[in-house]
Amino acid sequence: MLCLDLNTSLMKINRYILLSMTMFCGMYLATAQDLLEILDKELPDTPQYTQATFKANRITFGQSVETRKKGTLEIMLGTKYWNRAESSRRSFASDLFTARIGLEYAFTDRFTFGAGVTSFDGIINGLAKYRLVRQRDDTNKSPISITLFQSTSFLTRSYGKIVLPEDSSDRFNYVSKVIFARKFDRNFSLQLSPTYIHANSRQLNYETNDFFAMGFAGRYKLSNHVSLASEYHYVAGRDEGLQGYNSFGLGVNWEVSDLILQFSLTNAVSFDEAGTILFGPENFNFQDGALHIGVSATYIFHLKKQKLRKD
Amino acid sequence: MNTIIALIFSFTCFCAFSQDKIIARQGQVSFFSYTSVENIEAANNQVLSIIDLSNGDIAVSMLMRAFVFKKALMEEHFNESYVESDLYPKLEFEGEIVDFEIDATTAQTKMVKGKMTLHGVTREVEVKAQIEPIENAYVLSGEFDVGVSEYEINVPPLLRPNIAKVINVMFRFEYEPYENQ
Repeated sequence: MLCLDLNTSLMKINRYILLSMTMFCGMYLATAQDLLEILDKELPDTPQYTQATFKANRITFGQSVETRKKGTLEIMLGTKYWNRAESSRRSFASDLFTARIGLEYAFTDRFTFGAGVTSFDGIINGLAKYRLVRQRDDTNKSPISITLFQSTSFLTRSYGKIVLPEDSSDRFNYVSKVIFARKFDRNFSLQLSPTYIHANSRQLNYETNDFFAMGFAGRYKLSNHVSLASEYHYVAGRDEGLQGYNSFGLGVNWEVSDLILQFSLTNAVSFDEAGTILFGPENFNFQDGALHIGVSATYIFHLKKQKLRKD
Repeated sequence: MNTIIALIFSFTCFCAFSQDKIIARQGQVSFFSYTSVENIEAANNQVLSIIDLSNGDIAVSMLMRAFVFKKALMEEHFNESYVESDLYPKLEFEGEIVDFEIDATTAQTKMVKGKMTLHGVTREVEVKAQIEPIENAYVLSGEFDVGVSEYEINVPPLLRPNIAKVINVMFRFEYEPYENQ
């Protein structure tokens, strides 16, 4: 009886030793696990929004999906140079010149408000942009960015074929856009923007005040600081020609610290959305009167500095 | 009686092994670039680090995207044009604390030796660190210099005056016992 009892207790001890041995081995294996692998599981899961779908608020002259971070002021000085179509004499550089000075301020990471004035066409415009959806790098749940855009512009003089309306309330134009964009990989982004335009005056023999247009734009990154950008706006329901031409732009963006330089070739004379999309006087070609060479400089001021540490 | 001893043995065994790692989840790493043109400062407050107390092995991992700059645009440039965080999202370090004294009750200064991977480049590094015991864990801190060109980070000629060739990095990790759950 005693012998049997001893035997069972020995077996019990054996069982516990075996158990502790397995546990020991198990723990040993766990410690031998790569320390970096443990850290991989602990990585913070804060959302990572896709950066730099486009490099600036504008692609060449049209709006991009981008807005700036909170507290950022963008000052844009845009110029365009072109020759008169019927000009017989040759000026040294170019016959005509237009410049726009514009300010855009980001009140929040999502909301930007801006205004500007242009010299040649005398258009004053104001714009608001709201980032509705931001593409994310860390999940597939948000594969595109969506930005809402609204601008109002005011004609102050006649230019080209555009006639200044008598009644000042007829001088307003409104442009609404929903901008969809996706950065497909680190070099390539595409943008699609359904656009609605309401012009209070009927320019260029238009039979309506309301227009629908579709904007197409792309960016291709050539190097870490230089990218190629292009855009096209198609306006539905008009005779392209006498009633204006669809606008096209091809540009190079060069980024130097806080300054972005944009060089472009385009047939659009204006900087304002209604002006560029609807009132294009010439088709895109390399002849005098049609080809506009754009040089824009955008400088970015950080009026509010981000906090480096939470305190 | 024997059963109890075996139980205690296995239990202490378990405790010893679950206690021998310490982790820092909100480690701080900041870097500074001083030039006559501009001073650039950035901080990452979500750095992970783990130490295996049994042998002094240490690992550090951080997301480059978690660095915060005073200027938001700099953050974008840092990620897009310099460290290219879309291709190389993490900085990782794996190595050991040389002659780590687990029983020390006062601060000790030790060399930390190992391999650091940044921007896809792995290099042997040696960093002097201060290790200070606090309530059932440690604080590890120190600073070191990183050469921008050592990690194949390209700075365009036009911006060379703005970015220092050697970046000063400071770190501070506060550890707590690592629960293996």
